[in-house]
Amino acid sequence: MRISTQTFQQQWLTTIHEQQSSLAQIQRQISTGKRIATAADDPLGAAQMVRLQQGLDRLDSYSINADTAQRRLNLEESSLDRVVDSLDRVRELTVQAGGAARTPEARAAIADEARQVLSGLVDLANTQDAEGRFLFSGNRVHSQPFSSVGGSILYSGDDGTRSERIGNNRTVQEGDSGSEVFQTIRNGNGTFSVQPNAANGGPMHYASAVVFDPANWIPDNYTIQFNGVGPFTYQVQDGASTVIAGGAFVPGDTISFQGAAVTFDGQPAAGDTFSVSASRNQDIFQTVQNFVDSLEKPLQTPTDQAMAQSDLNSSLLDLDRALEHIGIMRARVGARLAAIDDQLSTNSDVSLQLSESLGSVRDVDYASAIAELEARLFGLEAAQKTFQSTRSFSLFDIL
Amino acid sequence: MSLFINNGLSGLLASQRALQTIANNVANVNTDGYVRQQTNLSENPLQYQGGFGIGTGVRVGSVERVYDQFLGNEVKFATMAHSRAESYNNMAMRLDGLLGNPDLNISTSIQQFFDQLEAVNRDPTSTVNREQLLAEGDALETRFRQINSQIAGLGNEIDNRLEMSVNSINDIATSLAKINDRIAASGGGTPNDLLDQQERLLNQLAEQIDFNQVRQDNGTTTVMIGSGQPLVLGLNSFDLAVTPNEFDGSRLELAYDDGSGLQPISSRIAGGAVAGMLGFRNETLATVSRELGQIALGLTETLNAQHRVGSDLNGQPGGNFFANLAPIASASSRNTGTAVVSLSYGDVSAVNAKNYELLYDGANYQLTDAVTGGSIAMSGTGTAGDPFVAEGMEIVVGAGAVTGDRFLLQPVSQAAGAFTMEIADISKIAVAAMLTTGSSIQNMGNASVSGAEVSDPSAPGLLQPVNIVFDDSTTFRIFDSGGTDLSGPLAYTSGTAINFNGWTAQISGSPQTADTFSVAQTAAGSGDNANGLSMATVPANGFFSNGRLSVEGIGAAMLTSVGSAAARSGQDLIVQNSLLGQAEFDLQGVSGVNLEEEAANLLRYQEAYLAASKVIGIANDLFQTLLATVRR
Repeated sequence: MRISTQTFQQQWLTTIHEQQSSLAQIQRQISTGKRIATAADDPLGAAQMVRLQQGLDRLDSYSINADTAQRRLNLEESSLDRVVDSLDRVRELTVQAGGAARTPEARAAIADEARQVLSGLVDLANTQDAEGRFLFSGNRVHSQPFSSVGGSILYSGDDGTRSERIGNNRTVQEGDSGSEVFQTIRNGNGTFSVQPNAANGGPMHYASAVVFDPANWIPDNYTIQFNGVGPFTYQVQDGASTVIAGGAFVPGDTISFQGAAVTFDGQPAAGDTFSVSASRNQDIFQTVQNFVDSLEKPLQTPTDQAMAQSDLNSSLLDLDRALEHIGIMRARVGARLAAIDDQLSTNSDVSLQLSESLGSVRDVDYASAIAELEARLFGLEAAQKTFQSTRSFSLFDIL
Repeated sequence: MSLFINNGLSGLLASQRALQTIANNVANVNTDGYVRQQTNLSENPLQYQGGFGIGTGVRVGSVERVYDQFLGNEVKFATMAHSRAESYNNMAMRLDGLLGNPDLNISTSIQQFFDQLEAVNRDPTSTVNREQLLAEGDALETRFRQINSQIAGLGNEIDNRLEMSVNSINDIATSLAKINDRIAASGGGTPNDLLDQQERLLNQLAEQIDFNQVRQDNGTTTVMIGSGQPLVLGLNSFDLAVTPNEFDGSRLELAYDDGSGLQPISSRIAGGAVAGMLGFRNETLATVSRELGQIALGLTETLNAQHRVGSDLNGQPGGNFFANLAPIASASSRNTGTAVVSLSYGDVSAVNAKNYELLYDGANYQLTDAVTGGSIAMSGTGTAGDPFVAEGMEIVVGAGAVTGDRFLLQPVSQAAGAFTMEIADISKIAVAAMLTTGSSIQNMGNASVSGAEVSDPSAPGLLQPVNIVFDDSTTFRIFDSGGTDLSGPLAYTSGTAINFNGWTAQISGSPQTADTFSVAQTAAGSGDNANGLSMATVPANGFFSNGRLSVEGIGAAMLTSVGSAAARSGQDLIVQNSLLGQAEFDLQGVSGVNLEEEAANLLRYQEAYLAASKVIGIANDLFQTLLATVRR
C-alpha cells in the first residue's frame, strides 16, 4: 500500500499526541489523588459525588445540632438534679417539722431554711444557657419565666418547646417548658386532696388519703361532715350537696366513698368538715410556700396541732408528687440524651459509609493508575523509537 | 539519421520533463493540499518508409494530478463531521471547566445556605445567626447569577464565533468564485495549481459548514449549503449573514438572503464548526440553563411556601424569602398578527425544564415541545378567566393572532438570572411556627394539645386567637378571646385533627369539663424553630415531576448534563478524528508525495536521461564517421 511521507509523519505525531494527553491526565489524577476533577471525567460519578457530599454536609449539621441539644439537655438534667436535691431537703424539713421539734424557734428555723430553698428553686427555674436563653421559658427565650408577684411565683413563659434535627428523619426535643416542668403537678395524692375546714373546732386531722379503686372515682368537690359527740357520725356530700355516704365514725376509722379512702385521727367537734377535692395543678413553689405558711401558723391548742398535722400530711403528699414529676421529667431528658447518642452512632456509621462511597467514586486507585502510567510511558517511548528507526532509512541516503 | 537523433532527443526531453515533475513533487512534499503530479509519456506515431513503420520516439502526453474525487469527497465529509464534533467539544469543555467542578456546583452553595439555616434553628433569636443566613442568601443569589452569566457568556461567545465563521465562509466563497473564473479562463489546459487551491478552499469551507458540491466539466465548482441555497455558482458567490433569533433578539442565527430578505437557516446546518456551535447552544447550553432555572424556581417556590406559614421575630407571618419568579412568553419577530401572549405559573410543581412553542393555526392554538416538537395537550380556552393550562403554565392569549403566528414559552429559562433574595431585615426571617398552642394550668384532665400547623395560609381567621373549651369529656367548643362561641359543640375523639380557621391541631388524652386549650398567633421574639425545621428539609424534598424531583436532585442532574456533554462530545471527537484520519490516509495514499517513490523515479528517469544522451552521442559518432568517409 502506498503511504505518503507526510501522512507517515502525521500519523506518528497523532500517536504521540494521544499518548501525551492521556499521560497528562493520568499524571494529574495521580498528583491530585482525584479521579474526577470535572464532571467530564465521569458525569454520573460527579453527580453521585455531589449527592454523597451533600449527605456528609447534612450529617455534619446534624452532629452540630446534636451537640447543641446535648449541651442544653445536660444543663436541664443538672438543673433538674438540683431541683430534686432541693425538694428532698424540703421533704426532710417536713418530716422534721412533724417530729419532736415543735418549739416556735425550731419551727422558725425550719421555715427560714425552707424559704431559702424556695428562692433557690426559683433561681433554678430561671436557669439560662450559654447563649443567655432561659431554659424553662418555653419559646419566650428572652423573658425571665418565673418571678415573684405579690408573694406568689408567676410564670410568664409559654408551653412551647424547640427541637433539633439530628437525623434525616429524626428530631429531638431539646428542652421542656417551665409550665410543664414546674407547674403541671397534681396536688394531694394525684387524684384528690384533703383539706380541713379552717373553722374546725375538734383536734382531728387526716392521716392518709388513698385511691383504692380508681375506676369508681368521680372527680368532684366532696365534703365530709362529722356530727355527734360520743358516738360520732359522718356523711359525705358531693358537689351538688347530695349525700352519697354516711354512718358511724370512730376516731382512726377510714371513710370510703367513690373509690377513695381517707383515714382520720383524733376527735371531731360536731359540724367539723373536711373537703375532698379532685387534684389540680399546683406548682412546686406553691407546694414549698404552703409548707412555709403552715410553719408560721400558731401551734397552741390541740386543734392548731391537728390542723398543722393535716397541713404537713398535705405537704408530704404534694412533695412526693413533685418529686415523682421531676423524676419523670428527668427520665425524659435521659431518654432524649440516649436517643441522641443512638442517632450519633447511627450517623457516624452512615458518615463512614458515605465517605467510603465518596472515596471510591472520587479518588484514584493508585495501583491501577500507576500501572496505566507505566503502560503509557512505555507506549510513548516505543512510538518515539520506531519513528527514529524508520526515519533513518531513506533511498535519498544512497543517491 | 535525423530520426535517430530525434528519437534520442525526444527521450532526453521526456525524461527531463519527468524529472522536473519529480522535483516539483519533492519540493512540495510538505505542502498542505498538494496533489502529486505524474508525467504521462506516450510514443510518437510511426513513420512509414518503404513499407516499414519506424518509431519516432516519445512525447509527454500530460502532466496530471493523481487525485481520486471520491476519496477527496470522503475527506470533506469527514472534515465537516470532525469540525462539528471539535467545536462542540471545545465549547462543552469550556462549560465543563466553568460548571463541572463537583465542589463548586450550585448544590454546594444551596447546601451552605441550608447549613446556616440549621444554625438559625439552633438559636433562632440570635441576630448573628440571622445576619449570617442573609449573607449566605446573598452568596446564593450571587452564585446563581454568576453561573447564569457564565452560561450567557458562552452564548455571547458563540454569537461572536458565528459571526467570525460567517466572515470566513464569505471570504472562502469569494475566493472560490475567483478560482472558478480563472479555471474557466484557462481553457482546455490542466491548471493543476488552481485545482489544488480549489480543493484547499473547499476543505477550509468544510471546516466551517456542511455543503454540497457539484463539479462542472470545465473544472469549476458549484457549492450549495443548507437546503440547496447556492453559495458559489460559477463566477458568483453569495454572502451568508447573521440575524437576530426570532424570539430572542440577543441571540444570533445564521441567515441567507434569498432575495426577499434574510432567512434563518440555522436549523438546516448539519456539519462544520457552525453546526457544532449551534448544536451546543441549542442542546447542552439550553438544557443546562433550563435546569439551573428550574433549581432557582423550585428553591424559590418551596422555601417561600414554607416561609410564609412561619412567624418572624416581630410575631408577624413570614413573607417571601426569595422574590417570586415569572415565566416568559415572547412573540416571534416574524409574526404578522398583533396578539400578545401572557404567561404565568399555575401549579409550579408541574413545571418542567422545557421550552414550548405556541402556534396559532388559524382556528386554534397548538402547544408543542420546542425541542422535540411533540404535541402537548392544553385545557381551558385561553381567556383571562379560563386560561390554557399545561405543564404548570397558565397561558392567556390576546386577540389579533394571524395564522402561523408563533410564540416561545419559557417557564424556567430566565429564572436563574432573576433569582433574588427578597428579605432584607433579619427580624423578618420566619423560623417560628405561625401559631402557638397552650393548655390552661387549671385543666383537670390529662389531655394535651399538639402544635398547630397551617393548612390554609390564606384563611381569613388564621391568626384569630381562640380557646378550645370542653363542655365535658366528649364535646368541646371553640370560643374567640371575647368568649363568643365560634363553633360547636363538636364531638371529641382523642388524637383526631381539629381543623379550624385554616389550621390543624390535635388534642389527645382525656379532657375534663371546662378544660381549656388555646391557639394563638406566636408572640414576637419567640425562640421557636418549628417552621425553620420544616424549611431545612425543602431542598431534599421531592417537588417537581409529581414529587419525584428535588431541588438537590436537579442540581446533581445539571452536573451530569454538563459533564456528559463534554464526555459524549469528547468520545464523538475521538471517533471523528479517526474517521477523518482514515479518509485523509486514504486520499494521501493516492495523492500524497512519497519520497521513496520519488527517489526511485528519480533514478529511473536519470537512467533514461543518461541513455537518451548516449543515443544522441552515438548518433553523433555515426554522423562524424559518415562525414569523415565523405571528406576522404
